[in-house]
Amino acid sequence: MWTKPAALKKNNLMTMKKELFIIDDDPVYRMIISKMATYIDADVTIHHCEDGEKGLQRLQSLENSDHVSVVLLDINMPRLNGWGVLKELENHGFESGHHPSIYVVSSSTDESDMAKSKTFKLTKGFYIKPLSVDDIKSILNECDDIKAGDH
Amino acid sequence: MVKEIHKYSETLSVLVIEDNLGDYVLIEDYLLEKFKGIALKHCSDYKSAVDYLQNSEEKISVILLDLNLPDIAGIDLINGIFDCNHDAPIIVLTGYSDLNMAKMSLQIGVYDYLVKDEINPMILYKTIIFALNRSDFIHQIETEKDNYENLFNFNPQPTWLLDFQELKILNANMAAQTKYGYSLDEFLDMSFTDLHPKTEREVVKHKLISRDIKLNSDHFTHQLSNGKEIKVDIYSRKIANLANDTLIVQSNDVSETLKHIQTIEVQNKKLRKIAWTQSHDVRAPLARILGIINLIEMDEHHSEEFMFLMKQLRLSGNEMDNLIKDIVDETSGFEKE
Repeated sequence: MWTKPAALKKNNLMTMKKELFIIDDDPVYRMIISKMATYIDADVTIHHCEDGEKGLQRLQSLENSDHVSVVLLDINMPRLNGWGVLKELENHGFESGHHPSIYVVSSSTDESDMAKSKTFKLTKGFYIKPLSVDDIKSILNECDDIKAGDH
Repeated sequence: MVKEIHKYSETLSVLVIEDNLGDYVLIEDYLLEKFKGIALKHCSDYKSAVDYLQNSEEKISVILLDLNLPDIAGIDLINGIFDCNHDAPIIVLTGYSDLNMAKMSLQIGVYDYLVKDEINPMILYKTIIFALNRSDFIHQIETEKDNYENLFNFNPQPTWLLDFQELKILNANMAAQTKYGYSLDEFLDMSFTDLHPKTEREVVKHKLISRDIKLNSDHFTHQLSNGKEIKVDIYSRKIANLANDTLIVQSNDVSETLKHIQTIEVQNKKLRKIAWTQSHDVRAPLARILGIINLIEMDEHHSEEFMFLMKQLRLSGNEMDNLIKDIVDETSGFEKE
């Protein structure tokens, strides 16, 4: 059985609501991730965005919110792909100040994708699908650490 | 390379064309004094000299020619002797009265002239030796000229000689005639730019005349006499001449090469497409399957047999995942090449 995330830190962040944005066109993948995330932390609010454009709208509406938000961003999506989302966010000055933690997720093992993800200052990390429970856990924990460090 | 100066002590044969017997005897004395083993032939008029030159088996080394013969004289005489003698240098013998004529004869190919009243053994000897050496030298140059003409004519690459101003074709080698289907005469009526379609002509002319070093960065089109078009690379070099500057130009048919490259590029594109499909499209459903397995395995309440099957499913999925990864790695290595 997985242990729940460290109770110590959770106390400090009780007032802060944690939100997870899954931007991906694959409904099964979104379902898997949301089940895992809920399993790890039942309090996390999960938002499903089925393409890059919807994801971008949701993220832009977040600006100046002090919620702790984590984004899992797929690369290959219809309408607006993951790179497009990152570019739009950077163009709108999203990288300075308050911003969500963005993790790029891809089903491709092509190394050029990982290299490209590093060129965006907004990205916190790069994962190749499928994500394991451990991956989700460390993503959610890492964002706790960052938030704790900010305060 | 200039050969060593000849001594001609053994094998010299001299034809003396002289109607005055006294003059001949004097010359004979001088020659015998200076040259050992010399063979002398005496003709006293034009007719017998021509007869001898046309019918004799013997090779003549040098001709001493009196400019005034009973049957013919002057320039006509010289031209007549030239017609039946192509190799032996001619030295003209003359009196003071014909000095101008003798000087003029040098311009039409006579090697030297001697004023009869000034001849002595030493002068005669030196004049003959110098004439023979110059004649050897000229033959040597002519042989080399033939060699260079062969280099041009038998070069397997189509090659042209152009005038530098208008790019008129001055010569075209055999490969050019065979490859392009024009005879030499047809080529001589053409300008090099006529081989190109109208749209290329100005560019080609500019590039050839300005000797643009980027000439070969583009391929040009050449039209053959049968209307077929080929793609060519063009190489050129300017040749500085005393009279007019010329340009030597070679073409290299790259049509086949370009076609092969094009085929390879189409195939590359297909391979890239396959690689992309492997890395994205094929792996996406596999990643989903592996994700579902992750999810199922989180629940510990399954039976042992179910977990065993799940493990087998995961192993198969991982195996397939590795295969896809290998293909992607290989194709990305191929991209870098």
